[in-house]
Amino acid sequence: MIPAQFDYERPDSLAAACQVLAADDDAKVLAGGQSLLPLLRLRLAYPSTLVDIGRLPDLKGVHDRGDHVFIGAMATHDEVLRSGVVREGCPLVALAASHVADPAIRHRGTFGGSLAHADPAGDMPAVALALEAVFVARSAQGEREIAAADFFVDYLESSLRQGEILVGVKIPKLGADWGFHYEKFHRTAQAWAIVGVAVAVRRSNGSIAEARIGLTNMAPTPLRARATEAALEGVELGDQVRQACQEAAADSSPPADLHAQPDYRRHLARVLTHRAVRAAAGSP
Amino acid sequence: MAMRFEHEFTVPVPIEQAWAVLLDVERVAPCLPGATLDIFEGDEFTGRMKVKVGPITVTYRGTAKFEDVDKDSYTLTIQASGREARGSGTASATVKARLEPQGEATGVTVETSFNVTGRPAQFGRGVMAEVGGKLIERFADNLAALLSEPTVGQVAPAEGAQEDRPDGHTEERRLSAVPSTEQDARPAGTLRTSRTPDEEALDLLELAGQPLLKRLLPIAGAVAALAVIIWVIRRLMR
Repeated sequence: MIPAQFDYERPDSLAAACQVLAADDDAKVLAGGQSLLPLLRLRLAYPSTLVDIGRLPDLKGVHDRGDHVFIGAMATHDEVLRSGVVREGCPLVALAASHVADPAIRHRGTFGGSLAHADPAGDMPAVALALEAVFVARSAQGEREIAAADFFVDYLESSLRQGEILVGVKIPKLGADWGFHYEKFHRTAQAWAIVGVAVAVRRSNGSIAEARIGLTNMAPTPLRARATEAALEGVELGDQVRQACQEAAADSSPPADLHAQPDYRRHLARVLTHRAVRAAAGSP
Repeated sequence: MAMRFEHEFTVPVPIEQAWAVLLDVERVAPCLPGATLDIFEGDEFTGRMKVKVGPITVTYRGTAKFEDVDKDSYTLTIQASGREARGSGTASATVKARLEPQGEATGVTVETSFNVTGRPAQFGRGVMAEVGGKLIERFADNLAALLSEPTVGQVAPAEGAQEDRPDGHTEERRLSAVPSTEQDARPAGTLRTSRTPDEEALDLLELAGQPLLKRLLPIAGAVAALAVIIWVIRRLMR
């Protein structure tokens, strides 16, 4: 279907883009367009103006900044998963990026776009949450940083304000004793996760010293599996890990849809968390 | 896609007072976030409902009416149905409310079932279930707040006058909610948006109206230009 009429702006500077957005409450940021354009074509969204941020230099590229990796909001998923800096500094992001949709979408869709869209079924939000990323947003009033835990507010709603643009995301580097895994369950290769689990685990002498677990599509926002994280602390690899992962769906409120009912999703969360933790901890 | 919700709450006002408010469409309608009441006549009212989730916006236009208003058992049913303003989808809802005296307070049970068809119902992974649940939650909260207002009589003098008569007929009460034409420039109805400023954000009707205005403006301009030309020609031909 053809979208409803809208104006199109492609500012050359971040300041100009912020200005256009601040002036119009119904303006919407266009990044890679892989989520927004389908909504326009389905006529589920009617923005007055699309502000194309594709040419803003501040939003591009992936940068090694010592203690963290800075991923520009306009870096595509493909760029992210091939980036040496990402693979070295935050391998979980590269791993999860390789699971996003299909190659065509990964070449257009952006890291920042999929986070700002705040779809709980998207792969990146749970990863950003598990890695305790920091979101950098710019508006006419200046720049501010938002912790991942405060960024995802509700279904498709982030704490970005009208007139604010996500510039990029700081991903803290974790040490060499950390292991990672992203486990995604879907029926067709390019589909959304029915449930996804992002895991980072710090190993120490055959046991788990610390675990961080982000769940995809288990609530209106991405979710940390806090109960399992706590239960995994200090646990030796083996049966105790399976026990701890039984708590993976605690405090979740998974959706019901054509693909799965909440009960099934809770079951998946437990099984997939166990698999992901084992893989991240390097246990057979 | 059909859904059912049930809410129960207690309000610290006598049942007579709660019942009178419940029948006042003009005050109950704004409890639904994003709802705007356009016209209401007798038992039937016409309105719009705007639902906004992230980038998604859906506006419904439709009608609702009271059914089975039973003063003896303090129960009533509101039937609502609407169509998407910019699509072919539909939405319908049945709200059953029951009041029960609990000493000086009143117990309220609200049972809502609703059904959505069309693209919003199909889109993605249950947008409507997510949104519907929240809307009804907010509706119940707002309704509880509205029914709990102790100064019910003072809000609008016309309504207060009616409520002073505890044996007042329900028909009169409902009629009392219709504003007189002297008070309101709009002849057949009134506009009342959502209750809290926060929820007014949900109601972006102007968004739907603006593109139309943009389309109509050139036409209006052309008509005006034509009028001027005709006027000039007439002057010249004299």
